[in-house]
Amino acid sequence: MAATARTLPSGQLSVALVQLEPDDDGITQGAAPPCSLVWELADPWAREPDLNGMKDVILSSRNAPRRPGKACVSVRIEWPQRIFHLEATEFDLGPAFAPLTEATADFIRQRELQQSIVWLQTAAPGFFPGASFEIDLLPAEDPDNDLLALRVYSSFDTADFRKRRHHLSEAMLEADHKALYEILSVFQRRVHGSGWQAFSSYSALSAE
Amino acid sequence: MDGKRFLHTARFLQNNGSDEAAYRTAISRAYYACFLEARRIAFSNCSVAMRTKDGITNEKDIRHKSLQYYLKNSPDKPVRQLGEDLSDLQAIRIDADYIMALAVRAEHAQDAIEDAGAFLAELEKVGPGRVGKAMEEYIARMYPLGSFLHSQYSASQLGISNYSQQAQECRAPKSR
Repeated sequence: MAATARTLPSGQLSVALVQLEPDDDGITQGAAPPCSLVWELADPWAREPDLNGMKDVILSSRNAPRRPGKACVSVRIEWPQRIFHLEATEFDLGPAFAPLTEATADFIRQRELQQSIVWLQTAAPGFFPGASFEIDLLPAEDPDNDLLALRVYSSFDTADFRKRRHHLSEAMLEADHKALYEILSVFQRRVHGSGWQAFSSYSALSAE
Repeated sequence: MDGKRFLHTARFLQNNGSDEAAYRTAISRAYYACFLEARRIAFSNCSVAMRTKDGITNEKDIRHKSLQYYLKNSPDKPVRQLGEDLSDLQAIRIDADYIMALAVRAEHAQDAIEDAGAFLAELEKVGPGRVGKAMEEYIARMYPLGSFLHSQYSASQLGISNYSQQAQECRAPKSR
C-alpha cells in the first residue's frame, strides 16, 4: 500500500491510499496488478467534504501511472470517508497522528484553531521524520494554564530535537499560526526504534 | 534559595532513583529549576512601571503561562526559543505529575534534565537584559493605552494576545 497527501483547491486535505489487490490465486504479481484508490478527507472540521475537488484529483491520479512501468489494469474508487486524523500509512506519509480526544477537539474548536491543527498535522512530520504524534490537551492547573501538547514519539537526541522544534515553531509563525504557537508545547517522548511502534492501535500508550 | 539548585536534586533522583516515582519527581524538579530562575530574571529585569501595568507586584505574580507568553512573543529569536523550551518542560512536567497512564522511564527523566541544563545554559548566554526587555515589550504591546486595573486576571495571565481589542468588545457587547 502506498499513500499520498494532497491539498484540494478548497484547502481541505485529502489522503489517498493506493491498495494493490491480490490476483485470483491470492498472490499479487505480474506487471499490472489491479489496485484501488481510497480517498479520505483528513480535515475533520470541514463543514462539507469538497467532493468536486476530490473528483478532480482522483481523475487526474487515475490517468497518471501508479508505478513506473506498472500501470493499473483497473481502478476502484471508494468515495471519501471523513476521518478524525491523518490516516497512518506505512510508506509515503510515514508519521502518524493518534486520534484526538473529544476534550482536545472541543478545545481546538473553542479556540478556533482548526486550520492551525490541520497545518500542524501536515507540517510536523517534515520536521520530525519517522516520528509518531499525539495532540493532547493537558490538565489545567490554573485558570491560565490551558496547554495543548504535541507529543512526539521519536528518538532524536535532545539537542537535535530542540533544534527541530525551534524550526517547526518558526515555520508555524511564518505560516501565521501564532495563536497555536502561543499555547502549544512540543516535546519528545523517547521511544526505542521507529516511532511507528509507539502506538499500539492508538490505545495502549502505557504499554510502551 | 537559588531555584537552580532543584536541577541538582533532579540529577540526584535520576541517578539514585530506582522507581518511576523518582523519575517523575526528577522531571518535575528539572522544570522548576528553569521556571524559578527564568521568573527571577524576568522579574528583576523588568521595570517597576511596566510590571505594575500587568498587575505584577511580586515575583510569584508571574505565572507559568505568563512567563512563557513574555518569552514566546519576543521578536528576539533566542529569547523566543527560551519560551519554547520552558513550555516544553512544563508540558513534560504535567505529564509526569498527572498522567499516570504514560509510563515514565529513566531515559525520560534524563531527557528532561538535559533539556533543563540546556535551558539554563542558554538563559545565561542570552542574558538577563534581553529577558527583561522581552517582558517589558510584551506588556507594552498588551497595554498600549493604560494598565492592568480592575480585572481578576491580567492579559498575560489570561493568555490574551489582542487584549485591547477584547477589552473594547467587553465594553461594547454585541447584541444577540
